[in-house]
Amino acid sequence: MTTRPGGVLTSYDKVPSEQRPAMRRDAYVAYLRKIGHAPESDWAQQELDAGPKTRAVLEAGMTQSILGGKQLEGLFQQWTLNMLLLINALELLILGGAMLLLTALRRDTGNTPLMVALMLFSVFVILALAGPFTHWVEAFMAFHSVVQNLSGTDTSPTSFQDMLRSSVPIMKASVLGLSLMGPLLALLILGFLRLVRSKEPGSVVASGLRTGGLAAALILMAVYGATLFVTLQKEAQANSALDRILQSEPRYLAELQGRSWPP
Amino acid sequence: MDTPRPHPASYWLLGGTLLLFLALLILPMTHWIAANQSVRLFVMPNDYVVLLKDLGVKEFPYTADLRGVERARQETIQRNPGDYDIQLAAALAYYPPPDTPAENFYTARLAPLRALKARFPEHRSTLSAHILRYACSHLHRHHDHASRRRPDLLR
Repeated sequence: MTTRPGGVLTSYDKVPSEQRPAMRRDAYVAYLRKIGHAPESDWAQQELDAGPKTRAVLEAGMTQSILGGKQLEGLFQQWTLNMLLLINALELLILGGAMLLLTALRRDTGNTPLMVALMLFSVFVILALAGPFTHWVEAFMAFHSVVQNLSGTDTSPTSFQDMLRSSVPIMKASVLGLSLMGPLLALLILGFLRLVRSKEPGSVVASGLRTGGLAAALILMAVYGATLFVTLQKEAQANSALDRILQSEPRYLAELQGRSWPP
Repeated sequence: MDTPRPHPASYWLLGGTLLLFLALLILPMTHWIAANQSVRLFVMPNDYVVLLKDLGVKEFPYTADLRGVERARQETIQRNPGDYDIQLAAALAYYPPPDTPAENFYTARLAPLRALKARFPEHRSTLSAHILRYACSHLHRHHDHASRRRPDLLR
């Protein structure tokens, strides 16, 4: 209706695109006045003038929104960090617990502790390769990508680091490696010490895992607990943002920029 | 030679780690997230994959077990008989079984929406609007056939 006031088709092909909305508005307002609807023409002018302002508020706000900005990505990263800390703590806990059990059974001599530790590590590797954790990371990334597409925010990576972060195979491989980092480092260090201190009584691997390994598990679990509170805070922020989006997304986007709504 | 016995500190470290983990699982503030993350280490992302499929992601290499999701959906619907939003969502998501005759498809499709009118009389007008929307969509797409059933569909 505003593009063809009175049914007359006016060509704006030769007019620069940024001037077209104003020309269409003027033509529509003039038409309303001509047919005796001056009050409506004032209202229409206000509404048409508010259009670009509204668009500007929404476009600028979307980059800061939970659905478009870095908040959601930060939340996914926080969840991934939590799960990496938890899985490493649990793996070291299992290794340390197994070594304690071997010691209690007086089987912690010779190659037995190393064999048991390597067997458990193999199980961790198989679980990491076949298990759901890497699928979760992939699902997080897919969900983030969908939200960015739906919200119309820019998804193209701007730096090499962003490019690595947005690559599913690289992220899966990184997460796979990091999920085995704790037990792998422990076994490498203890394997080296076993070679250096081969004349010491008892197994270096068993004593190392039931002391240093368990201490590392406790520290990782404590760090996990601490980061959990950061995640909870981010979750609360995200939930609050989603509630505000449900109530009135434009008002939420305007408030993010310190603007009033309606513009 | 006797092998050295474990220092008591090892038991404290083991117990302390387990206790801390249990505390995170039990504390009301952290229970949901710690339990959720622990489960996710062992359970495939079924609910996420369903969500992604709903959002239009086609090239996800992992297929969800939809039976579990459907079971959970049905349980939620049955657990909340008085929740209009949930019941409306269930009625809108309903699709008749594949063996439904084509001429009865849309009547069957709209049956749950019609049934909600009696259960939620305060939402009659909204439900009528939904029924009208679906019926008009059907009439638009199958005008020749639908024109004979119009009174039936719009009732």
